[in-house]
This record gives sequence, structure tokens and C-alpha cells, in this order.
Amino acid sequence: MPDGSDNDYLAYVHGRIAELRRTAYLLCGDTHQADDFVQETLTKLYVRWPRIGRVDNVDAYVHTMLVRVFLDDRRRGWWKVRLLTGPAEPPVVDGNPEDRPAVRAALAKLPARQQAVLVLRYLCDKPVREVADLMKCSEGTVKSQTSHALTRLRALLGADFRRPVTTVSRER
Amino acid sequence: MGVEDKMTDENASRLLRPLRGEPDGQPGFDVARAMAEGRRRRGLRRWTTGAALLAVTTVTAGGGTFAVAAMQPDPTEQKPAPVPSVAPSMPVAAPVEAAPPKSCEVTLLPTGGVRKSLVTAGDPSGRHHAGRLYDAAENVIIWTNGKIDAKVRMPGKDASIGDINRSGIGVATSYHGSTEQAYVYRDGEFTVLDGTGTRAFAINDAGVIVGGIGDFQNQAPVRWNTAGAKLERLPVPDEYPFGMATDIAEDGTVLGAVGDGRFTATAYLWLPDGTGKELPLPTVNGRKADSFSASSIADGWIYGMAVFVSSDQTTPGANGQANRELSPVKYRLADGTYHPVPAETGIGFGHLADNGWILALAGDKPVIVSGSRVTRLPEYQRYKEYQVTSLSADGTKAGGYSTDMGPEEVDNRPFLWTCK
Repeated sequence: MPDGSDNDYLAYVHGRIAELRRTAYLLCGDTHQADDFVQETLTKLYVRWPRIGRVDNVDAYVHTMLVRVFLDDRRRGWWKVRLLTGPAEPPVVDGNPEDRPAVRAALAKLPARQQAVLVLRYLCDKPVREVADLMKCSEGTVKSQTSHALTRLRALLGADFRRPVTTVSRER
Repeated sequence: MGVEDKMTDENASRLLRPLRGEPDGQPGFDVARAMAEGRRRRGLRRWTTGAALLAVTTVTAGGGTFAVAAMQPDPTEQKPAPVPSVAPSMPVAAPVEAAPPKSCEVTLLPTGGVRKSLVTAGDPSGRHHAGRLYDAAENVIIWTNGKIDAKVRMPGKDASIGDINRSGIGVATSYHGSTEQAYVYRDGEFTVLDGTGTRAFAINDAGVIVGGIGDFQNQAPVRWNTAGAKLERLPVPDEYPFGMATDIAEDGTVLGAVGDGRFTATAYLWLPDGTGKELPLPTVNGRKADSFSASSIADGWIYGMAVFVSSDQTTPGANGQANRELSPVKYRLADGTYHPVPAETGIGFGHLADNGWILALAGDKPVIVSGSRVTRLPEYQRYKEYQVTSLSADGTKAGGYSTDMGPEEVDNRPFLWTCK
């Protein structure tokens, strides 16, 4: 168990940073923003590090922090846009759900918590129980949010969503 | 898992598959900056208690990280471990100290239902306080006479009002991406101060604002003579090209720190005309300090810590550690003398009132030091750990917040102490 020292913090961060960055990237789809989220999470973690010994599952704790940073950012972003220009509208989604920008834009239209649930379950491949733990909600809530999110996502992406995947998308 | 669930999962995975991928390029985050900012937020360094004569502090000295730590803008909240009594550097007449407070009470400041909140600043009259709100539509709160005056959304991340004056005008800083920006707060509105990459730390009743510009390892002290004025860089000595201005007295005298960007940062004064003056180093128990880290200026006095760096570890070694020892002292501007502060209870960095009282922490406990008396401030219900952030000029109103660990995160609640 971590003892709360700086060296311990550095060792912990060194061991987990790649996964944290990947999760941040999957949540937001943008490398620079992912790095901002990681930066903020590392800062929050350092603030709490002296008392980290009281935390049972540090990995889950840190990922919860990251998800909250993501949710906070989405909440703040929505607020700023609304104040200045009215409700934010992501780019119009057209046609092919194979298209990364189209799926990302559709995902961005969902409530932030639903975005997080989908990403954690289907991109980070975390089981429902773990997602519930990270999101600090019940497994039933994760399932219902998943269901709502998928229904909405399919509606946003149009009828094509049922078409079997026959091509491999280009991934960076 | 039922058949239907499995189908849902397969469909969902297929739907989201285009989003799979790995972040590209070099990581854009900076662990040293996270630690530096983390230190600033939690207002403390990793002080460890030494059993020897003086408490020994271990600070990670990973190059820039330590430089940043040594140049921290707000040392007022740093928590040292217990230290023994301190001898003055030279015999002087004992300063007249106010009697200790007769009684003090603590109140939880209202937040309109927001759970997590800090007090970050208070004005000299003790009427106005500013704080932060978390997990709420607004991120900044202003209290007047202990009641909510305003809840507002300040632009940027990590937005915080760092000081406020008797007119209720505050100075604040937030992040826009990785760039900090200084603001002035007045009547519910935030206005950008001149300059980018700026931080505003203090404002006096005349409306003069001081702070810093530049990133952590390349910063310079600045002053804005009014909220609308052009930023003015304050001069620094050749040997200490970096620095920041952290507090300003009502007469316009500016307190700050200068350093060489590596390990040394020591207290520095700028007189109202802008000329600079390095403070002499205190001598404690016959030993001359390596630097003086000052946290507060009021009524002709400066409060801070004499810092001793272990001579054999002033450079980063294999373990990246440097040992520092601290002793609290007061400096009288009129005659340039240092005076001891009773240290038996481990008094840390603090805030100075005009009557000589010092609001500080003894361990995690808030105290008021008056002369040789240390008065523990009352704790609120089950809360055991605190930070203190403001003290009125007459010493009767103190602001702070709890830092106890809650079930999921630090349980910050905003408090106001009132003493008679």
C-alpha cells in the first residue's frame, strides 16, 4: 500500500500513467485534451497523496478522479457555451457510423455520464461492476444509462447502425 | 449475462469500435508541474517530524520540482513539524503583544447546499470572505458578515480568489489550458488583469495588486497599481533573477520572494516606490539561516520561517532529497530585527494581524499565537484537520477549511472563527 511519500507517488504514477492516459484519450477522443485531464488528475492525486494510505483501491480511486475530471470538464464546457452562444451543438452526424468523427460527434451529444459509461464499458472493456464502482453508482444505473445511451446513439447515427461491420476502421 | 445483454454488448462494441485507439505523440502532461500545483493547492509540503533538536523536512529535489517548491507563491499554508524555541538574532526590546483571545467560536459558513467548499481569502475588516465551490454551477463564493453575498462562475479551471480588500474587491487566478491568468473581482464580475501567464496574490485597500508572471520556473514579480493598470515588473537583484510578489501592506510595501531558479528563494521587499530590498537572514540558536521564507506582512512586521538547508544535501543526490529545517520568526521593519515566535507547539507559516496575533497551524490544528501564548481555535464537530487562509487586521476573524479525508475524497468545509 502506498505510504504517501513523494517517491511513492512518483513510482505509482510511473506505473499507471500509460493506462490513465489511454483511458483519458478514450473518454474524450483528443490527445491534447486527454493530457489536460491526466494533468489535472495527477494534480488532484498529489493533493490527496499524503492520505492515500486510507484508500483501499488506489487504482479505482484514481480512475474515479479521472472520470470526474472528464465530467467536470464537460459540465463546465456546456455552461460556458450556453452562456455565450446558446446550447452547444456538435457537428452534424451524417451517414456512416464507421467514421470515427461521426461516432465521436454522436457520442458527444449524449449526457456526459452516459458518454463515460459507454466508453468505460465498451472501449475500456470494464465490467458493469467496475464501471459502477468508478462512477459511484449502482450496477442497475450503469445498465440503464448504457441502454439510454445506446438508444440515443443509434438514433443519432441513423438506421445504418445495424449494418454488420465489414471494414476495419483506420485507427491512429 | 442473458442472451439479450450479450447481443447488446456486441452491438455496442461494434458501434463504438471506430473510437478505439491509442493517444499519439509525446505525452503533454508534466508530473513535476502536477506536484508543484498539488503543493500549492494543498498548501503544504511533506514535512516530517524530526526527533532531534530541530524538525527536519524532507523535500523531493527532483531538479525543477524542488525549484518550484522553493518558489511556491503561497507559503502561508505550509505545515511544518514541531520546532523548539527560537532565539532572536540580536537582543532587542520585547515587542508589545496584544493579550491572547479570551474566547473563540467556529461557524460553518453557508454554501447554499454545496458540500465541498474552501475559504480562500478574507479582508482586513473581517467582513468579506471569498472561497471556492466544487461540484456546483458556480465555482466561487463571496460571504459578507458570514452570509452568502454572491455565488459566481469564474472563467478558467482551478479558479480561486486569493485575496480581497475592505471594499470587497478580490484578486483571483485560474488556468486556461496550461496558462494562468490573473483577474480582479468586483461586484460579481471578473475582469482580466493586464498580461498573460499572470497570477494575482494580494490586493490592499488602496487597490494595488501584486503577483507574478511567467511559468513556475521562470517567473517574475509584478504589480498592477490599479485593476485597469498596465502590468509593472518589479525589479529583482542580479543574483536572484526570479521571484514573485505574494503580499502587500496597506502602505504599499510589497512582500515576496526572489531566487536563482534552483534551490534558493528568500524573502524580498519592494518599497512603495518600487525599489527592492533583500531581507537579512535570521540567526536562530547561533546558526544563520540559509533563507527566510516570509508569509505575511502587517503593520510593520513580517512573519515567516527561517530555513536551514542541510549543507551536505543542498544538491540533488542519488535519492533526490534535500533536508530543510524551519524555525518561525518575526521581522520588524523599523529596525531590521528578528524576534522569536514560540515554537514549542510546532507553529507553521501563518497570517499576521496588526495587533501581532498570528493565525497559523500547529500540526493540523488552527491556533492564534499572541506573544508567548498559543490559543487553540475550536474544532467544528468531527473535523480534526484544517488549513487557515485569512486573518482580519484586528485578529478577531479567521477563515479556513477542513481537510479531513472523507469516504471518497477530502471533505473540505468552509469555516469562520470569531475571537474576542
